Order: sequence, then structure tokens, then C-alpha cells
Amino acid sequence: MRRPKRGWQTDRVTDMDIAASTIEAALRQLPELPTPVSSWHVETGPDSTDDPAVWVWAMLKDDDVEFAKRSQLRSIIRDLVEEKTDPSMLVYVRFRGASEVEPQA
Amino acid sequence: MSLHAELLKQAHFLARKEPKKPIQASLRRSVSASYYALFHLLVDDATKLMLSGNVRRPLRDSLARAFRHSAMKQTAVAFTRKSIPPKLAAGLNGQQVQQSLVDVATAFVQLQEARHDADYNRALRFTRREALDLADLADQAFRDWNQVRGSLQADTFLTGLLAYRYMQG
Repeated sequence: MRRPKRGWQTDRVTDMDIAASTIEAALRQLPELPTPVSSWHVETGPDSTDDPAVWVWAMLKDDDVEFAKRSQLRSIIRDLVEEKTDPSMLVYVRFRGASEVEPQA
Repeated sequence: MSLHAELLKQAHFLARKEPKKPIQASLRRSVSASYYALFHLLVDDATKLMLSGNVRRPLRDSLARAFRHSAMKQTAVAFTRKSIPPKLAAGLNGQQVQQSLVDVATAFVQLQEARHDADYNRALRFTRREALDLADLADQAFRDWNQVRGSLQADTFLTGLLAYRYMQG
């Protein structure tokens, strides 16, 4: 596997982790989202073709959010990450329902 | 029903297959089907653009094997940023890339990476909401593609998906 660390398992602090925490902090500050987000998770690293990338998981408070709102939220997230990092960075956005996420140990 | 339409239907079906607790295999196959639905839609249209008619179907099927995921991503990323490389820009004849085409390209990039995770990254756990969102993303990409299909920009995109790396600019 090229990205053994991805999968929400953190064992050491790296520059990429710092970038991820900075992005996560900025996401938490976003005002008036199209649909409420209960928490965020951000990871950084090379993607499947070795391009530098950021993954953002947004845990949506509501279980059934219409696509148009998710689409708006996806754009807002992408714009913010590009602003905080580099426009050349690829941004992957995934949505989960807050009720689907197991509490972190 | 076409292969791409079947795959899209399968993506939605697999994401909801287990009513209570979805199993990872179903969710991962759903995510993979979402990507391949869009992949085959675009490959189908690209090969039909180059080789039309029923008599050329076997030739189209052979040509379809020439598409490479990483090269397709390279073109799609360029379209998401509306920064079309010179060797493809000539094909646009000065026309702007439509937002619907940008959205198709964006969905393609998102789905391709999700497919890679679904097939290879065992450290990740997919959820039903995540798989359904990606199936919806493919669904919307189908609708967006219908809006631009046949345009000069769409044909330039399809040409890039196949031949970008080998084109001279």
C-alpha cells in the first residue's frame, strides 16, 4: 500500500499532520453551511497517482441531506482547502452521517 | 440497458443492499460501480465519437481498452481547473468550458480516488451515507454530461481522456 497511514490512524506528528490540523481548524470556523456538520476529519498525503492531496470527511448532522446542499458544501470545502494550501492540491471530499461514525477511542 | 446505466443502478442497489448494517463488501463494490459507471459512460461516448455505427462495435470495444485511468485523471484535473493545456485548448476553438463539463470532470476525479480507496485501502471503512453520496455524484455527472454531450468542449474532453499524453501541442 502506498498510503499505509490513511485510515484515521495517527502514530506520529508530521508536517502533513500539522497542515491537516490547520485545515480542520479552518473548516470548524466556516459560518452558515448549507447543512450542519457535526465534526470534520482531514488527512493529507499523496493520492493514488502520487499527486499531493487533501481528504476531508464531513460528518453531516442530518441523515438525509439533499444532493444540492451536499454539492454546495463540497464546493465550499474545496474552495477553503485550496485557499489554505495550494490551488494545485487535489481536494477529495467525502460525506458521512454523524450517526454512522463510531466514537474515536 | 447500457453497461454504464447498469453500473449506476448497481451502485445505488449495493449501497442499500443490507437494510440495517451494511457490509463493507457491498459498500466498496457500490463505490467502485459508481466510478465505473461514469468511466464507461465517457469511454462509450469517446469511442462512438471516433468510430460510429454498429459495424464498428468490435473496433470500439478494442479501442475502449486503450483508456488509462491515470491519463484520464490528468485531463479531468485540467478541466476541473479550467486550465486547459495548449495541446487540448486548440480543440476548444476559443470557447469557454461549460460549468456542467467542469462538474463532470470534478466528479470523475473524486470517484476515481474513491474507487481506488474502495478497492485497495483496507484501513478505511466506508459508510452507507458515503457510498450513497458517491452514487449520487455519478448520477449528477450523468445528467451534467447529457447537457454538454456533443459540444466542441465535450469532444475535446473525450479526446483528451484517450490521447492527452500522446498529443502534440
